[in-house]
Amino acid sequence: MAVAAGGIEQALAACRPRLAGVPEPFRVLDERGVLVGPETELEQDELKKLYRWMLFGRLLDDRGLALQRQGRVGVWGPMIGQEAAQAGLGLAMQNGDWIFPSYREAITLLMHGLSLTDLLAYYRGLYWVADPKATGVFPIQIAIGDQTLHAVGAGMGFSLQGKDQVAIAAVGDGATSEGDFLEALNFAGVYKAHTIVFVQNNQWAISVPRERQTRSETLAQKALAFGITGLVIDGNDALAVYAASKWAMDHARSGEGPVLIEALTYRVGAHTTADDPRRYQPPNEIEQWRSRDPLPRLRAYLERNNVWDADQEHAASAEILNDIDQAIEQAEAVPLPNYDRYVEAAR
Amino acid sequence: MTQEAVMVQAINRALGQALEHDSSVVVMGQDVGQLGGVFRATDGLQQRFGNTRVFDSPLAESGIIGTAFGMSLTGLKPVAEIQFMGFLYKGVDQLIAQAAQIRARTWGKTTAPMVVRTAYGGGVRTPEHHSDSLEGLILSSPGIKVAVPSTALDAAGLLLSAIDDPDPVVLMEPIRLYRSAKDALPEDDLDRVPLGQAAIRRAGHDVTVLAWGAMVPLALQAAAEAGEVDAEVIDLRTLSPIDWDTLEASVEKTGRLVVVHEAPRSGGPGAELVANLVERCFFALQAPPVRVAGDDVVYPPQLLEDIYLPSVERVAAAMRQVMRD
Repeated sequence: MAVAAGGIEQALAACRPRLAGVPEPFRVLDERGVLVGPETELEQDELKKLYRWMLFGRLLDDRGLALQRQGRVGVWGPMIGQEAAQAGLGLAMQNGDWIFPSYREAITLLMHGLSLTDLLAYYRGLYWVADPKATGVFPIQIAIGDQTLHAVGAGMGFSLQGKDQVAIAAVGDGATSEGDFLEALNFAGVYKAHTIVFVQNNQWAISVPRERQTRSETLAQKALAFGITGLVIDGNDALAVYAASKWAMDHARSGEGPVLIEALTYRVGAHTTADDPRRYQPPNEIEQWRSRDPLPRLRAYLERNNVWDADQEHAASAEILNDIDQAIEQAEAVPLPNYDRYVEAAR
Repeated sequence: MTQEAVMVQAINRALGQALEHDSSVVVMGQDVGQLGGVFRATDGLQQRFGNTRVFDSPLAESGIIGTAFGMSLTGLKPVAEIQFMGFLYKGVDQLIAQAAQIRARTWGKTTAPMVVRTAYGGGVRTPEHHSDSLEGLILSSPGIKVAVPSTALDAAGLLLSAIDDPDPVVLMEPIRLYRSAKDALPEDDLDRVPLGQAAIRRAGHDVTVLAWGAMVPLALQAAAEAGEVDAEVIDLRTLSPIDWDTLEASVEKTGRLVVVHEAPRSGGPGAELVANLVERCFFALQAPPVRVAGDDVVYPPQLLEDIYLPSVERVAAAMRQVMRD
């Protein structure tokens, strides 16, 4: 399934942001899972891994919502509908790469090696228990957009020290209005930081629609102002997200400069369990995007290529649910740390 | 062999020493490169160490502090300059809500070894936004250390300790002393001054006078002026953490307390110092403590700043007042 690099280059060139107008987003599969872009370079086992993680995310979301309803985690930010963006990015990351995430990239973080038990400990309300540098996963950022500067700073650090690593800032569309986001793109450009800024544009920042964030026609356009590379991609096409992210990381890693990726997707669920989207999100819009569900899209492609079938789906689901339940059990078995231990660590 | 140097030259020496001995140190900020800093604190450093160790940054305070934090995670020790403390407000979120909190948020697994150097304080007729003393703002933010030198040697020594520290440290450099505080510096390496240790600048028995930065020479002048009062003048040097032992021992001895600072009175560092020392030394106190501070107004225009700022006369009057009370 290999493809000449020129294929990707050419396809990505067409999805660069422009001063006016909206480019056709980079796509490998259409909404029915039919190949419309450059053939993927992924081998069968990697394709399975990609799909399995998306399935993992979907099932984890169900469990997370249930745990919140039962009072076993504080809040849960659903990922439903955004699995392709998260898994495609996760698959493109290499060992040693760092990610500075928001709260809607759980799949990416788990793919990069964060244990689900540690992630659930955070959601139970214990701060970040995993070692950020050892895992390459920095704590989930709650102050919107702040982490963009951290990823750019880390990417500057990698570049200055000649390290072969990339730092990723993962943010949502709301973050692109923050001053720190814009300062980060500017610094990234000036210093050619080894950084990818990955925006999951899910069209909603709690109740504020994308149109209210900016007059810019695309979020990727912001890259033009800072002289860096931007890409508009179909965030519900896992193969497109993987290919674009991989290309961007190679670009940044080799010192050719940072890349801003706008992955178009949709928040099918609520902002968090504390939110009531019925007050603002048009039901027909949700339905329209539900029909663009990233899971059946990739699955159709895999089935057509005899990489996946109903039996595997069934077996994988059972395994995943078992893994999730085990992680929940382990997370809940962690005793409440002593307050003094916290104070000691914090000082 | 020694050489006489003013505070800003001592800072320059310390930066050069750190850059030379520790390849992870980088110096960044607006105008720190070719120009050598608006106060010349980084004079000649880019020429000496190259533009990957000493580099200018875009004009954006939040960006400077936020990227310094990101760099500090990769094994570098950034020393970032914020040209004037009045502009630190723009970077407060990255400093206080991010860099200062990473240790707590990761159970001590990750820290941010970075320094923010910033010129602060009034008395030199700078335009608006150039004279602020924001130590009160930072003191109420856990996770960050604050050092304020009053001598050239301390400026260098505190800076070297700040660079070694695993957590963010703000070094507040008093503009007023940049070129007036002088010391003889050794020709070889400068010594570190540990964070968290106050210095007794004048020993005395009647009243404890607490000051830092530009207020230290002022307090010493006031002590000379009010010669009938035997004042003990303590230079805090580090405002976070505070050297409570030294302060407590002094107040236990004198029974009287005057705190001098440029920052506005309400919610200022003096409030914390007085409250804490009253808690510790209540039964030793012979008079109500007195604060000599900036007024609770926006920093005044430069032609009126002398009235706002603590003066030798006001500090001397406060010393006499606690003796009468």
